[in-house]
Amino acid sequence: MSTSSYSSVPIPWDDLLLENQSSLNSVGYFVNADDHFHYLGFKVVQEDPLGAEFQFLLAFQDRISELLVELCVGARSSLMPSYQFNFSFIKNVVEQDQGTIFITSVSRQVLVQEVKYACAR
Amino acid sequence: MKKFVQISFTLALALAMSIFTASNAFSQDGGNAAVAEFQDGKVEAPRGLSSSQKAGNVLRQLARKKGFKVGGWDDKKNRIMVTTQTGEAIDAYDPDFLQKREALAIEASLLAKARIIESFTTTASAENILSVPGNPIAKQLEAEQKQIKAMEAQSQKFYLEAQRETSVLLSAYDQAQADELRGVTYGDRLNSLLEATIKKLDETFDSQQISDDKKQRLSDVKMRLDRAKKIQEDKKKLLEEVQIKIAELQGQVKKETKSTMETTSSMPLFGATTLMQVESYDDLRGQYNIASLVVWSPKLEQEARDILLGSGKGKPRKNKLSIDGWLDKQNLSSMVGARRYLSSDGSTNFMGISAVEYDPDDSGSYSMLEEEAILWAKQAAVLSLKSSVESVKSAERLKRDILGADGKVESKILKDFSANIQESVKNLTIRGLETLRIEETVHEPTGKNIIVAVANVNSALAVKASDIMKDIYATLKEVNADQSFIQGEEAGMKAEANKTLNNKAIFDAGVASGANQVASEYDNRAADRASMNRGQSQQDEETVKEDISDTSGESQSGSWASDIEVDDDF
Repeated sequence: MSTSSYSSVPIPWDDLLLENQSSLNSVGYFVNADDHFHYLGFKVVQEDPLGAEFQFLLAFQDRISELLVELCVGARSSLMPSYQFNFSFIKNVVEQDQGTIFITSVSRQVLVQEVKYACAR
Repeated sequence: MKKFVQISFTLALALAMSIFTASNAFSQDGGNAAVAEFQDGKVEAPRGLSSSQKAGNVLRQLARKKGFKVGGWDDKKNRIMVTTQTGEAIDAYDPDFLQKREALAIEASLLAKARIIESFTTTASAENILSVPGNPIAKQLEAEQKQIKAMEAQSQKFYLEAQRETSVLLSAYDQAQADELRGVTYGDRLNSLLEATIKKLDETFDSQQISDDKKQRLSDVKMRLDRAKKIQEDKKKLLEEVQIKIAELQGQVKKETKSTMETTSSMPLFGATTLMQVESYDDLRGQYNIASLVVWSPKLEQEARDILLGSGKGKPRKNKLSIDGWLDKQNLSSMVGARRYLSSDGSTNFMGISAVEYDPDDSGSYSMLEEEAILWAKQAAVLSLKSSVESVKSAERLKRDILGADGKVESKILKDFSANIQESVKNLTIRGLETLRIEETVHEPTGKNIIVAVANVNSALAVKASDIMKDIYATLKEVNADQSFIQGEEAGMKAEANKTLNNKAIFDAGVASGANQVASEYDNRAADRASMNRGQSQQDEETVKEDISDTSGESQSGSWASDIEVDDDF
């Protein structure tokens, strides 16, 4: 959570890629945020583009769920055992020789809204 | 993992092939500049790849060399470039190689377009569901457990009664054995001891005078023992049934965690085109790959818009090639899908390229294959100009905790993935769609003979379309008017002619006149009849000779043109 921005425009995907390359190489993902956006990046070593998309979707789901758990805890509640969320995000895909990088940006505001549905009071 | 991928592709086109344009001078920037530089030959298309390098790697190297920012929106250049690679194992002799190649190129293009629209906005829907099913095994076997307990109690009761009664009967003959029997606890030893004792009492009672009462008591003991045995057998059977039921229940889900994730993205895309494309083939492994760099920018959209709205003819570009000159420089055998070029005459050209395999020895199917290639080329051109792109991708992961045969709980993970990406155009009337080139060449990776068709939506033709169509329809109006007059004129003539049709008086006068004329002429010719019929046989002979000289009877290879000289000032 080192990156900070005071703009409502997300950080460019290539800056995020540059900043978080080491995390992507070591653990295969990064989760970052500024005042307005959450940034989630994933590295998938899979040549087949659809296979890579599949890995991304599962990893994205996991990280988003973790984010929501954190937000629920922050709101003194807990993530419901059965919940469904629906939100918009931006996704960029970078093909590299070592794999495919997915960089996503989700508005903080959007996730805060989701907390209303995903967290049990 | 079950992987289901559906890439669907729908197209409904109303192709009004015409022509057209308008003034539009572009300053080349962003996506346009990149496209232009590559297409002007400043970036060389890769040819003669090594088999160790896959298409995607080569394409990325090329993009890096050129300094392209590939993967997402480039704010400085105001464009987005995306690379995708698809591939599969295809034998070079596969008769459907070219069809598969085309499908893979479309797949690469679709994936790229999906990535472009997803970079603008994507909607994610996801859910996590934890479920613990009720109805555990113990509850399901409750009834059987009660029955088994009751059977055990009943059986024990019969055994113990038999034990007590037998001991009493035996004590009159063998006190020691009777005491032994009385002291045995319920179990297998009691059963065997009881059986042995009853057998002994039976033998004793047979050899001695025994009262009926004692005999009856022994008979009752035997019956109790039989009942006890029967209950034990039934209990054994029930236990076996329970075991089967338990085995069936083992493997039942104790807990399930389901996670689903679906992303959807949908928007129209105008002017997205392929900037570079590389195909690679490893004939040893039969691995074919095709990689495309697809570009989209607001400028490309503007160009597409200008064509669709009929205002897309720019000023001549002195430093550019003509569209034909540009095509001459391309290696068409390795191109498939959409391209775009700004030519020297100021026109914008959204092209589509497609290839089909043909057999040089089968000229009968050539025209059909050519038409097929043209149609697919047009499809690529039109979908580059405008398409509605929709991408739906979903993943599901299921973690199941299952009760194993050993009673331990183990986890199993099931995964599922599906993708549906489509681009479509429906009922779009496009002006300026033309077949630009048909070329017979050889597909280098496979050595197959191919027909390459290049279709084009030309902005200049699109602009001219209105004028040309005006002329055509004005001509049609004139022709229609003239046809109406001719039809009326003929109708009038026929009607007037019909007035004297089947007139009896005129007929009779004609009969008399004709008869007179013939009779008179016949009489006049009487003097010349002797000299008639000369020269007839000579004329017939000459006709035969002429016919023979026209027939050669042999065929030869070559080509012939029927229209040697035509006017071309249209």
